[in-house]
Amino acid sequence: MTKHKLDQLFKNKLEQVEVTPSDAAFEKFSHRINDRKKGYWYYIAASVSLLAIAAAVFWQVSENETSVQLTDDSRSIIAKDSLRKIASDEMIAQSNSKPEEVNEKIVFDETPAKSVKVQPAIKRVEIIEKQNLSVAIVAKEEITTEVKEPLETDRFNMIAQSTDSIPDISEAELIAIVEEPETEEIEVKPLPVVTITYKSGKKKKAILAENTAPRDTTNIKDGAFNKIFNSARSLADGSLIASFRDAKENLFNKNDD
Amino acid sequence: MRLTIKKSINDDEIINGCLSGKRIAQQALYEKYSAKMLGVCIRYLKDRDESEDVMISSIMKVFEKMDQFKREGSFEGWVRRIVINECLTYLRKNKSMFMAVDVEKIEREPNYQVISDTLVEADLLSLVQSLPTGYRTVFNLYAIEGYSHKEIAENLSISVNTSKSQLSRARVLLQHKLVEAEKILDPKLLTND
Repeated sequence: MTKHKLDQLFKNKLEQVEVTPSDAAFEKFSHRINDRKKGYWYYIAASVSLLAIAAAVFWQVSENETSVQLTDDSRSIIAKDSLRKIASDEMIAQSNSKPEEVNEKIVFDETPAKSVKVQPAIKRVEIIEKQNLSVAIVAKEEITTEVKEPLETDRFNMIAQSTDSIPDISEAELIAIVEEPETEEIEVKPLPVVTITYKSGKKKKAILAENTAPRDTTNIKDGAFNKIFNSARSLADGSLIASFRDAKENLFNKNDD
Repeated sequence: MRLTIKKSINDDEIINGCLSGKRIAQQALYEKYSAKMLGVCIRYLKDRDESEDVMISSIMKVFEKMDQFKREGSFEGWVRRIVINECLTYLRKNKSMFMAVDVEKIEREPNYQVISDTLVEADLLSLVQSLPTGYRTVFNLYAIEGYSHKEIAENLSISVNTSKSQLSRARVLLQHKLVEAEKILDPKLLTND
């Protein structure tokens, strides 16, 4: 196939055409070469530091795992004890205050009680949640002692106090507390008299204690990693780990036999 | 400061030096091929600064891919293909490649021999650069680089027929411009036909 004359003309003239680059182009080229060399060093430095970080994390994780194993059994025992204690406290509270329902008339000037009484408790707990309290034993004691107190005049204050002392409560749980119809019924009358009918809040507290107590029995250092490990650890039930360990030991025993 | 590179340095030395990461070999490659490759880029991209940037990126790519060069064919041809690919990549990213331009049929063919004798490379280069991007790209690839329509279609993700139509329109446009150039250069040429 013969080449088109036009194509041939342009090919002959332009195929080997040379255009001398500017000095600026050479400067750019030199920079690119230098950057490329630097890039290798950065890559090496980055990989070395990554390795170091990975090693540090691995070391810390393994250290934490050993401490968890040590505390798991005691934690579950303490958790069970605390629940038992709370349950017995409830019984005492029930016997002390027989009327389950208390009707109270509270007179307010203008604003309804619902927003005034309940919301501050939520806020306080949220703050505590952010602080991420680590010492759980103290918190637990607070819970139990407050549960011991019988039903007194201002129930709302008591709820607020008890929630103050609870270290780690999720928002969903809080909503459950506020909106749970069985435990708390708030009726807002037209004006200015508000009748508040509520049942004992003990059941609610027991649930809260159950949720929070086992989680906080281990004493954990502050820090981002520890927060993550703490939350991860709270997912694993101590008894579950113990049962795994038992199963493992049984396996080894069998092998020994 | 620019270094002067000895002319005696050949492609093998450049390739080996670049594979060892030697700065002197990289600069030798630049000295030997930068003008040729800028000549390629400027046919495709038209703009001088853009062409220089793509030329430099292409040479950096040559360094990266140096270990893939089999040493079977011409090193210059291999470098040139990398440069062309870089130009096409740049065009795909930055330019609208194919726009329909109305092209009238030519009255007569230009006198190629006279044109070849009178017009220099720079004139023909500016004629190619004046083409719309799509026409220019296909014309460069087909007429100057010697790619087939199939190869062009694959490279530009277009159909073979689109490649063919772009080429024929590019040719007609160039022929128009050459006829115009003939008239400007020497009106007597018109009577010599």
